[in-house]
Amino acid sequence: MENIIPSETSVLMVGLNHRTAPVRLREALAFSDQAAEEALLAFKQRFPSSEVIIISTCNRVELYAAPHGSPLPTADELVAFLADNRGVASAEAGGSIYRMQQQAVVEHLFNVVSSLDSLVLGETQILSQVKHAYQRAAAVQAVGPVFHALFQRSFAAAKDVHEQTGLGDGHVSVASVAVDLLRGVFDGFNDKTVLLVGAGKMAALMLQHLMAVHPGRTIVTNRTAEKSAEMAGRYRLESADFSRLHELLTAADIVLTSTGSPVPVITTEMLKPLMKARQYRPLVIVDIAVPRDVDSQVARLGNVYLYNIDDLERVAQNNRGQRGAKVDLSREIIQRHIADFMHFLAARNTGPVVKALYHHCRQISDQELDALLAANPEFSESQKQAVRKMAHRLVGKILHVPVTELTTQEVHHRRIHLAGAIQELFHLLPPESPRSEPEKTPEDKSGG
Amino acid sequence: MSSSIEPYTHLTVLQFAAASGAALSFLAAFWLQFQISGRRRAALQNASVKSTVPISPNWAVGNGVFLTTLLLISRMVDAHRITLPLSDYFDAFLLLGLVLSLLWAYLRWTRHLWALATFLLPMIFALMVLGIVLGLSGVKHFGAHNPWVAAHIASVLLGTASFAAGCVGGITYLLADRRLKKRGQAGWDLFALPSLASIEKFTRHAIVLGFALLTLAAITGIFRAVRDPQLMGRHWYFSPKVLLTAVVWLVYGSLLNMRFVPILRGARCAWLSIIGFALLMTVFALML
Repeated sequence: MENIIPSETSVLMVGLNHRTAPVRLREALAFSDQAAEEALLAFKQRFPSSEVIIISTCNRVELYAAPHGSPLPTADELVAFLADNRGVASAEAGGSIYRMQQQAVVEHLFNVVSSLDSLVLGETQILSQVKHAYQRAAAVQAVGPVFHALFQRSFAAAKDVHEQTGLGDGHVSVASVAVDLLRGVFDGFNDKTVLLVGAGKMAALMLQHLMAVHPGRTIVTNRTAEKSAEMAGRYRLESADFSRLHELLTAADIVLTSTGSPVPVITTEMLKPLMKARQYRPLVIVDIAVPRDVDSQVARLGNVYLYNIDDLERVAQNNRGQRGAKVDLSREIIQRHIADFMHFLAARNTGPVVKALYHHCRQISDQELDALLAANPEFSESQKQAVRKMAHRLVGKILHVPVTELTTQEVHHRRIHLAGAIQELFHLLPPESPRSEPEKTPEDKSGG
Repeated sequence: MSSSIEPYTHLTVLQFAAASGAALSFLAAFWLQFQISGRRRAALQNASVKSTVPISPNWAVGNGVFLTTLLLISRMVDAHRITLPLSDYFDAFLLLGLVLSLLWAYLRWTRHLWALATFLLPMIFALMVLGIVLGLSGVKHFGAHNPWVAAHIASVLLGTASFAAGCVGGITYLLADRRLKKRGQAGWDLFALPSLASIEKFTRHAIVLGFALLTLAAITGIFRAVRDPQLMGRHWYFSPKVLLTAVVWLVYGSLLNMRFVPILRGARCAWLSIIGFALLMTVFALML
C-alpha cells in the first residue's frame, strides 16, 4: 500500500549567540548580505526540498531549516554546512553551537524576535534584523509554507509582546533612566548643549551614556580647572572656566552636576533671572552629587526639570520591579503563539490522511446512496436531497472525533502513529490517485 | 439669513440616535484605550489579569466614523444637496468630528505622537455632543449657497478643527509636563506620552493653520456683514460675537509670536491654547 502520510515537516535550527560563543567565533561565522544569499543558494542546491533562513547579527548566527523530503539534513550536517561555508573547522565551532528541533526551535525563534534572548532585553532592532533575514531568504525562494507561517507568526508574537508588555520601556540603570527622562523633554539632541558641572568618576560614567545620544555640544566645567581640562581631553569635550557658570547655564539645555561642594552650586535665585536670558527654553538638570549640588526649589521653576540621584534610583527600582513581570507576561504571550503554530504544523502534517479518510468514507456513502436511490425510483427530488444530506452529515459526525483526536495530538510520534493506524485500518489511498474516483460532493464540514 | 431659503428640516429621531451613537463610539474608544493601559499595568502586578479588551478602540472609532458618514449622507439627501451638507451647526459639528477623526487616524499611526490620538477622542465626543445640542435647540440656517458664506463657514469649520487639535496638544503638554515634574513618583508609566518638544511642535502647527483659517473667516465674515447690513445691524463691530472673535484672534496671534514673546513658552503656551479654544466655543454659544 502506498504511504500517504507525508514525511513529517520538521523544523531544525543550529546556531550560536553571545552567550555560547566568543566574539571571535561569532565574527568568523557571521554572514554579510551577499554571503548569506550565496549560502542560501548553496543550501538549496544541496537540500532542494528544504526551506532555509539564515539570521546573522553581531550577537548571533543561526540557520533555520524545514526539510519536507529527502535528502533530510541532520543537525550535524547543518553545523558542518555552516562551518564549511564560513571556512571554520566544524570541531572548533561545534562546542559553541546549539542544536534544536521542532517546538524548541519555534520557542527559541519567538524569544529571539521578541528580544527576550537579546543582550539588551526589549530592544527592537532584532525584529527588523530577523525581518530582513526572512525577506532575503524569500527573495531567493528559500522560504516555503512552513517558514512563511513560522516567521510571520514570530513577528506577530513580537508585536504583541512589545505592545502588551512594553518590554523595551523603562531602563534599569540610573544613567539609562536619566537618558529616558531627557527623551521625555527633547525630540533630538543634535542641537542641544550638555553642561557637565564637576569632573568626578560618577560624572564620567553618566557622561558615557549621555554621549550615546550624540549631543551637539558638550562642555565641562570644574572649580579645579586642571580636572576639567583633563576630562575634556579624555572625552574630547570643551572645557570652560567655572567663573563662567552663569553664561554656561544660559547656553545649556542639559546640565549634569556632580561636584563635591557641601552647599548648592545652582540655586533658584541664580537660575530664575537666567531663564529669561535663556528665552524660557526647557532645561533638564540631573544632579547626581551627594550632598546635592542643586537647590530642590529649582524644580518649581517653569520649564526646568530637576532630577537628583534618588529620583533616578526610584524610577530604576520601579522598572526593575516590573521587568520580571514583563518577562513572565511576554512568555505567556509567546506560548499562545507557539501553540497556534504547532497546531498549524500538526494540521499540515496530518492533512493528507484526514483528506483521504473523508474521501474514502464519502465514496462508500455515495455508493450506498446511489444503490438506495436506484432501488427506490418513487423518491421525490426533495426526498433524495434529504437522504443525501443525512448521509453526509452522518459521515461528518462519525469522523469528527477521530479527526479531532489526530489533528490536535501534540505528541509528535503519537500523531504519526495514529495517522499510520488510520491509513492501515481504512486502506486509505491518496484522493488524487488514478485508482480513486473523483469526489462527488464537497466536504461536509457541518458534521465535523 | 436670507428669507428666500427654505427653513431647514429639523433633526429626526433616527438622526439624533445615529449622532448620539457616533459620539458615544468616540467616547467608548477613549475609555477602551484607557482600559488597555490600565489592564496592562494590572497584568504586570498580577499575571491572572488579562491585558486585552474585547473590542479594539480602532473599531470603536471606525464605528463612529461610519455612523457620522451615514448621517451626513442622510442630511445631504434631506437637503437635496450634492455637495457637503453645511446647512446648520449640527452638520458643521458632524463634519468637524469627521475631520478630527482623520487627524486621529494620522496620529494613531504616527508612533511618537500616538498618545495625542487618544486625547483627541474626548474632544471629538464633546464637539459632537455640542453639535447635537445645537441641532436640537432650534436650527439656525447658514445659507451656505452664497460663496462668501460657504468660504466663511468652511474656514470657521477647519479653523475650529485646528484649534481643537491645538487644545488637545495643550492638554497633553500639561500632562507630560506634570509627569516630568513628578520625578518618578506614582503614576509614572500608565501612559506613554510624546516628548514635550514633539507636543509643542504639533500644537504650534495646529495653531498656525487655525490662525490662518480664522483670519480668512474674519475677512469673509466682515465682508458679509458690510455687504448685508441687515444681517448683524449697522454696529456689527460692537456685537459680542465680533468682539470675542477679535479676542480669540489676538490670543492665537500672541501664541504664534512666542518666539518673540518667550515667556509664553511651555506650560503658558499650553494654557493659552486651551483658553483660546474655550473662548472660541463661547463665540459659538453666542450665536445660538
